[in-house]
Amino acid sequence: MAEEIADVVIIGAGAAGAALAWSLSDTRMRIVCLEQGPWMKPTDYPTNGNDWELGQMGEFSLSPNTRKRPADYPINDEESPIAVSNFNAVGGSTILYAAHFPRFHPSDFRVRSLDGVADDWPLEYSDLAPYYAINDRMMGVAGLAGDPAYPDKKPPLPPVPLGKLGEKLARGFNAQGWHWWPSDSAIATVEHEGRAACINLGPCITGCAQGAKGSTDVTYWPAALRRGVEVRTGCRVREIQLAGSGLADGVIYYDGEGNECRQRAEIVVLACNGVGTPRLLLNSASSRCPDGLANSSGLVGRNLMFHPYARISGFFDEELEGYKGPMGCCMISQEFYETDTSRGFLRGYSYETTRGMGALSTAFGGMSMGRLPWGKDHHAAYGKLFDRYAGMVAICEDLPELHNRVTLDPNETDSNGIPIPKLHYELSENSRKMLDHSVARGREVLEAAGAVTVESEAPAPYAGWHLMGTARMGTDPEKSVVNEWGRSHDVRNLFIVDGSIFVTSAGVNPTHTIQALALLIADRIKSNLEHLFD
Amino acid sequence: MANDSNTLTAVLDTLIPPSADGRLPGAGELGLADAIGEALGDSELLSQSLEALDESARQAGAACFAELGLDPRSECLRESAESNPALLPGLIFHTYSNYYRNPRVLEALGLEARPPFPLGYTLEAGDPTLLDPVRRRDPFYRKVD
Repeated sequence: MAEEIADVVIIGAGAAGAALAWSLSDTRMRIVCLEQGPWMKPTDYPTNGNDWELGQMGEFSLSPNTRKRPADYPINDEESPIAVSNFNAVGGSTILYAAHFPRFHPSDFRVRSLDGVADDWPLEYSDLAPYYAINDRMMGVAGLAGDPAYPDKKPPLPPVPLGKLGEKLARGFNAQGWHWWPSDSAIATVEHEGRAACINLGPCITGCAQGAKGSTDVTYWPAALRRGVEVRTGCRVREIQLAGSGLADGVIYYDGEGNECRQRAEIVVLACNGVGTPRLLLNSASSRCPDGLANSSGLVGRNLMFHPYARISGFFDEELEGYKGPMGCCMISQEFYETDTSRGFLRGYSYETTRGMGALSTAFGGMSMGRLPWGKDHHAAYGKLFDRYAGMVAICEDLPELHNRVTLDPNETDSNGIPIPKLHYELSENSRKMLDHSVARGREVLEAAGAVTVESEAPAPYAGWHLMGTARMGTDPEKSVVNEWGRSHDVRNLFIVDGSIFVTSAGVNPTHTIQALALLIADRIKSNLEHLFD
Repeated sequence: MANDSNTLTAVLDTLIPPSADGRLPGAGELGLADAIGEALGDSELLSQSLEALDESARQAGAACFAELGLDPRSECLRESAESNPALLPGLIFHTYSNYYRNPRVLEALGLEARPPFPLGYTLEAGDPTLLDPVRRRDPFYRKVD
C-alpha cells in the first residue's frame, strides 16, 4: 500500500494549531494534526469534586515537571528564575490558561522605531485587526467596547462580572486616577455557539468543567473536525525530515504505544510553543543542517522571552467573595503600558487583577507567606486571610536578548528518548526596574482600595506561561527564522505559527495574538497556494 | 496503635485547636487521624515520633501527650520538631489538606460544602458608574504612522 501523503501536517493541537487547522480546513485539503496529549474530559477537571483544590498541586499542576502526565516532557529550568507553565493535550495550554485575552497595541509592533530597542515586527496592528475580530468570535471573547487604552474593538460577549472584589479594586484605581477596564476574556459569559455560559466556578486554571472557557478543544477543533481535519492524539514528533529538494518531506513521530511512525506531507506546520518548536527544530539537525533545521540565521532557540510577573497581594478587613468568579479575569489596568522614560525603564506592563482562593488554597498560601502559624493563633491568622484577598499581577514586557535561549539538554531525554529542552534565561536590568515599579505602584493602588496589608513577589517563579521569540519572524533571512507570514526562510514548505515567531513580547498575554497570527498565516497560505514554494 | 491514634489526635488538635468562640472545630475532633497517619506513609517513623511525644509528656509529669494542655503540647511539639525536622512539614500539610476540605469546617467558614461544579456561584455585575472617570479619558495608546 502506498504511503499516505497529507497535504498539511500540523504539529501541536493547542491555541495556534487549532486556529490554523480551522482556517485551512475550508480548502478541503487533507490535514493531519499530531498531538502528544489526549482529548480532555470536562468530567475529569478538579472542580467536579470535593478535592478540587488539590488538583492543581498534582495532575493539573501548571508545571510539567510536577504534573508528569504521560503527555508531558520534562523541561530543564535550572538556569532560569522563571519556570515553564504549560499543558499538553488537544487544546494545549488553553486547557489550563486563565483566558485573559487582551490584544497587543499598535506600538507593540514598532518597538525599534518608537523606543530604539529590540526590533519592529514585519507587520502592523492593522494587519492583524481583522484576524483579532475573527478570533474574538471563534474563541468567544467577553469584554466591553470603549477602552481608551486601545483602538476601537468590540468584544462580542458581555464582560465578566466585577463582583464585590472587582468593585473594591476599581475604587482603588479611581482614587489613584489610573486606567482600568473590564478584562477581555475568552469566557462565554452568555451561551455562545454551543458553549454553556460561565457559572463562576473560580479556578479556570485547572480546566473548565462547564465548557464556558475558550480552550481550543471546545472552540476551533469541533469546527475543524466537522470539516474533515484529523487529530491524531498520543503522537509525539521527534524530527522533521528533509527531502532531496530541500523541502520538508514529513515528520517522524512516536505513537501512543511508542511505535516509530512517519507522516509525509506537502506542508509542515509547527505549533508547539516557544519551547517545543525550537526543541524540535534543533532535534531535526542533519548533515545538511548541522545546527538544526531552518537555522541558517543561528536564531532558532535564541531571544527567548517570558513575561516576568510580579504578584502583588492585598488583604482587606472585609469579605470580598473572591472565591467566586474567574480567578484571572476581572479587570486590567494599562496605566503604565506605554513607554515613559522618566520611570527609568523602556516599555511597560499591564496589571491584571486576580480574585481570591478557596479555603485550602488560602491555608497553603498563608503558610508560604509565613502568615499562618499552627497552634493557638491559627484561627485568628486564618481569619485575616480567608476571603480577605484581592490582588493583581503585573505582566512586564520582556525584551529579546540573544543569550536567553532554549537548547537541547545534553544529558536528559523524555519518555521517547528525545532530548528535553533546557532553558538559559536571565532577567534584564530593564525587567528588574519594571518589576520594582509595578510592585511599588501596585502597593499604592491596593492601599488606596483599602488593603490593610500588602505582600509581593517578583519575579513570580512559576509564571512562565508565555513562551516567545525563539524562531522570530522578519524579512531578513540573516536576522530571522521565518518571513512575515510564518514561512521558514530556509525550508519553503515549513511554517511556524506559535509564539516562537514573536519579535517582541508586548506587556499582555499572547494567546489572542498567537491565534490572530495563525489565522493570518493560514490566509497567506491559501492565497499563495499556487506559488507557495517559489 | 490505639495509643498512636490518641496521640496523633492530640497532635492535630495542637496544630489546629478549636477556635476560642467554638465556631471552628479542632482538627483532632474531625476523625482525621487515620487518614493523616496513612497519608504520612512511614508508620514506623510516625509511631516513634508519637511515642517520643508521649515520653516527653511523661517526663513533664503527665500520663501522656494527650493529657497535656494546649500550651505544653505546643511546646512539646516544637521541641520534638527540633530533633526531628521532617516531622512537622508533612503533618502540617496533611492536617491542613484534610481540615480545610472537611464539610464541618467549610460550613463554619460560611461556605457551602460542595465542589464548585455544577452549581457554580452568582457574581454581581458591579456598579457600572465606576467606569465613568475612565470613559472620560481620551484615548492614550501610542499612535504609530
